[in-house]
Amino acid sequence: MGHFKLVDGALQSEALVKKGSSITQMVATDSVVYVLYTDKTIEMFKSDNIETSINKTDKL
Amino acid sequence: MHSMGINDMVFAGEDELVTCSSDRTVKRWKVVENSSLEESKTLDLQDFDKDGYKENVEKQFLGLTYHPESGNIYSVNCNSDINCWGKDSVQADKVLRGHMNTVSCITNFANKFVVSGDNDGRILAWNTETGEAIRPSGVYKHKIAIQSLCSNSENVYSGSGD
Repeated sequence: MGHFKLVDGALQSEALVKKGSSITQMVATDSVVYVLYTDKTIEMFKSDNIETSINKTDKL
Repeated sequence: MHSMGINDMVFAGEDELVTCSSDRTVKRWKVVENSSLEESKTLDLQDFDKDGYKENVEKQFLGLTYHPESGNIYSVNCNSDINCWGKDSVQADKVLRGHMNTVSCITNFANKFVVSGDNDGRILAWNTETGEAIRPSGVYKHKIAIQSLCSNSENVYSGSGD
């Protein structure tokens, strides 16, 4: 999963983090990012830190 | 109605929904008062079929995004092009070229850029005023195809199978 930020009018890479499963879909709000994995779990991250999970579901 | 699977959809303003499909069309739908949908326009790339390969799978639309400031729709398809459709257009007004492989997803970012991701794992940010492509600085490339992109007011996130 990659995280990019706008710095001085250009996009800058903040982090590229390996996750345990393949990502299929994501949605972001200003405070959190929701990630849907192919293993049918959803994980939630703070929008400014995609390395630390806030919450993760069991397989849906 | 689309004749094949719908691959992405996005709201364009308060009363319009836009869908893209493997049937090689993008459709605009008006949301009418009783909450049903009325097809208002079909956008396709037929005029770009100069080589007669209209049925080519490369013309399947995979994703789209809405740029609120200009009212433009940006769509991506399997042939690595990004097509920009004006509010009243039924043919693409602009084609943005810079990717080397199928562009799998696209998202609007800060009303200034659209950001696209391809099957090589590359990300490009496009200035919506100039059409110029900007490669992000730092480590920006996934090892395999990008499956999803999303954004909020300050950040863009990319998701992949790697």
